[in-house]
Amino acid sequence: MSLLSVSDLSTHYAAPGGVLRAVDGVSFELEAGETLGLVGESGCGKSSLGKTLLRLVQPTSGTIQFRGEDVTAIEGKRLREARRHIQMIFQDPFASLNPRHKIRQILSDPLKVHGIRDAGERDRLVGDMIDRVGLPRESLERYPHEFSGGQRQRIGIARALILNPDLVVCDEPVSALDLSIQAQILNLLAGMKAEFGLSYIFISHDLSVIRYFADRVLVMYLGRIVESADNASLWTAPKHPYTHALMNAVPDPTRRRQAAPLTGDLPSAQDIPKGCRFHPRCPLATDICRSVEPRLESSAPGHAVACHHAPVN
Amino acid sequence: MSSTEIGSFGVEVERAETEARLGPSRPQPEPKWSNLHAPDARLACADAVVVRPGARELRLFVANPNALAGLLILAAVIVAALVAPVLFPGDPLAMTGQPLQWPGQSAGYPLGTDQLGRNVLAGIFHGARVSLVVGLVATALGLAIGVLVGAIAGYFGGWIDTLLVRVIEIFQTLPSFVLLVVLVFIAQPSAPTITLGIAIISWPQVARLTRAEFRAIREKDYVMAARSLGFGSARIIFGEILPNALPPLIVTSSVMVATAILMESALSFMGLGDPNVVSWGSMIGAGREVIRSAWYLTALPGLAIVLIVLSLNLIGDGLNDALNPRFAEDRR
Amino acid sequence: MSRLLVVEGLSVRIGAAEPVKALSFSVGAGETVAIVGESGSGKSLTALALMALLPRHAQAKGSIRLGGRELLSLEERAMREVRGREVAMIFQEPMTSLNPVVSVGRQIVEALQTHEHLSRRAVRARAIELLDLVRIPDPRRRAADFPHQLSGGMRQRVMIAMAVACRPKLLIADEPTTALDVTIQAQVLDLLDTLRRELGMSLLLITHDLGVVAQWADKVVVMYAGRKVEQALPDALFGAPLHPYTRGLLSASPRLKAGYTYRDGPLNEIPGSIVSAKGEKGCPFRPRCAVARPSCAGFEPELLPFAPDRLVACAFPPTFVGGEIVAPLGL
Repeated sequence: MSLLSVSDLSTHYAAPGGVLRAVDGVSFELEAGETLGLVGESGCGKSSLGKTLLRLVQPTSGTIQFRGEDVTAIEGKRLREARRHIQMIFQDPFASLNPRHKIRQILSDPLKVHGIRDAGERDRLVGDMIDRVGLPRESLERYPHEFSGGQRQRIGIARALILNPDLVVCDEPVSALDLSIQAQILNLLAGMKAEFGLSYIFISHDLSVIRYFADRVLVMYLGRIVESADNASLWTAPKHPYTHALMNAVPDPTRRRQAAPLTGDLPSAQDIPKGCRFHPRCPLATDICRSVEPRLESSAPGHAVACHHAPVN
Repeated sequence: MSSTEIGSFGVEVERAETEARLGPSRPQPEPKWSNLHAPDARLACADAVVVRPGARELRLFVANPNALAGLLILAAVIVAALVAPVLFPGDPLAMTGQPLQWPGQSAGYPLGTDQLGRNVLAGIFHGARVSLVVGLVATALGLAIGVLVGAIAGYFGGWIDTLLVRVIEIFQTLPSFVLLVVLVFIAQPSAPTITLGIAIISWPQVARLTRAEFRAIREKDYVMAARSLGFGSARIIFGEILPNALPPLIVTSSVMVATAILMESALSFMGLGDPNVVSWGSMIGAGREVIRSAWYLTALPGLAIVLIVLSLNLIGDGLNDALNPRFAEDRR
Repeated sequence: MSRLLVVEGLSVRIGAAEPVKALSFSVGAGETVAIVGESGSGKSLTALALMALLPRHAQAKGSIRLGGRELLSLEERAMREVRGREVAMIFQEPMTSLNPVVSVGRQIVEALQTHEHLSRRAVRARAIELLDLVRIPDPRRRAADFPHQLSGGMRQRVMIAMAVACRPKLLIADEPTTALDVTIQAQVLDLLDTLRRELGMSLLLITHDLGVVAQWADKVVVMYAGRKVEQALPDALFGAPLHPYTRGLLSASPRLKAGYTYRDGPLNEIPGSIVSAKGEKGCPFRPRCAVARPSCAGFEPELLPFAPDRLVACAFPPTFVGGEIVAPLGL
């Protein structure tokens, strides 16, 4: 049984210009111990998907099965119980910590809320966690603004892990950090995964980070998954034209001064093109692409694509 | 001399040196990941001066001469209010002296007496008590109601928000002072009813402000983090959002105290004040008839009101400058 | 190649701190020079110093010569003639750099009118030409749009149009693509390079993205803690980085290690952060340096030339690189 099973999940927002279909029919499974990479550009819905999984945003339709339980619509106490097991690490280290709370409070409040009444026990867990993320104990008495971005992200990781969850959704955890700090945080995340036996959903727009960190990758475009493959296959044999374009757009010293692979802007999730969502920018688009939306179909073991022109087995 | 060899994108460093300093560069599969300790964390924490949120703002506030002046005047008024029963025991409304003596005319009455022979200085000191108590309590009450309503409206949104906004609007469309007069008149003038009345007309402004702050802060990542950790609404509202929504509320509250004092004085002037206590407003009102000949009877309490309102406004400005993050960069 | 911009010994002081220290570099005519650094390296302040747009409490010293003319000694009035006409700048966040209440066409017209004296019709026509030059589709209609109606990539193009309106000789791009998606990044960088060639401009590209540098730059300057620590041509830099910081950056970057995943092992990290050296003497990189020696704490290393256009500021650079002996010139 998979740890997480998502079926036809959609999250639509009401917006002045029309309905914003941020996530529009997404299905996938996540096994325990896996790191699933979610990659795509703005408007693809990866962040909304992450928030929907945590029920920070209400799904419009579809189901989420987590640890065998249907968590799509639970509320109250059941939701709080479920939240122990799935946590999130946020992108902006400067906005994800309450500036008025000391670090000790930031880390021990979750324990308080989830019933750890003994203050001594809480202190022990908090101290242990701060050690594990590589910060000295004095940090506990300080406020977030006294720390650098990388250090704050460590605190964010500590907070996410203090309840010992099974699944952690990492929403662009290193995108706001300097390159030299990114490596530190990625190593920390890898270490925590091994130590705690975690599963990750790793959301990023940075393909190279995904390439390093994910076991399996989902490529999203305008609210849908357009390609799903394990890491190695995706990089050696990408099948969807958008995946190709994404990879070619990453600046690469071997392609000095070559023209950009894709023209046109990212369309808005309020105004989704008919047929295949990618057809306005796709070099392979034909008539069928303009009228019929392709389904995500398996084209090789463990490799699924949503494209009319992808080779299918 | 050690040498280092560099391959195309990798680095092979002198193993012994780095390992001695940083710990092993390849992680050993064991519980303690020693190479993950950020050495700078120790340095940064050691260097960093422990600056609690609020300490910097306090320093900025105290460095502002206007704010300090305001604070001093307010302190003087508070002291006057506190020592009033000691310096002037007995009822300040007692008619003890010769009527209509000018300030300085008689040794026992440094600020003179009114037409009923009451000690003006005693009146000023005792009046301070009424002004301060009504001002502070009414503001506190208005803040309490306003913050509660605004927080609930701002945090929950939806129909709760719509409903509460309508309630706020109803209160704001009624002219506030007129409403106050009506309320006090119906409920019979006394210090408690005046205080309550002022609180009732001042909470909508607070609620609006709080609602705006809550709507903004609600979208912040740390609030989302709190929700994802399973925090209940009450904990999020009071523990996470409210402490961050305070700065504009603090600034507003000083002005609210000034307004409350003015309102109380106006009511007393009109004769709708508490008849059993001396208030600056009532002194001005009583001195109305002899304003041509004994203008000091209106001027002196009037001056007291001006001073306390001025001091509160200066404090409010000082708080605004200290708490407003936008000014922080320029000052350095 | 003639040198359009020569910066010598530029230092910026803010209060007690010196976020840019003794920086020297040059940009040739038609060249793309990239300044690489992370937060705290002083690269953005350098760009602002070049435009004389430093915050009020900052002081700049040294020499900035653009086309032979010394910029630091210019009065504000004279500097205003220089800005826009000789040197222009584009910023990272197009949404906050464009005036939200004025249409984009109007903003370009304003940029033009500052330096050129043309009739109203001519200026409008030129504005639409510029929108076309930066490849905005349907420029005549788009000129009436407001910034919030455009996507991030389009706004960045509008900013580029404003910057090149008066044909400056030098365009400074401060992290122009950091806020953009990767497919749009590629388009914008391509556009900048095309404009550089078509308009005969030089481009000073300030970025933290090594891939961008590798693909687009003619010369790379690496900054750390306000100082230049390495300068090289991109091939040389990526093939054989000499300064420990550059070496650390390249080995910490997941992009440059194909096929290596977290299951294979950790990324080679640079421990600590930029604040590690606060208040310390000696080499600013020492607390994070993998090959630092005790003597590194005593003095700041000088920039030594290893080849023409190859400078390294390290007291103990590697002596053996890729099978060859490497040594500073003159030794």
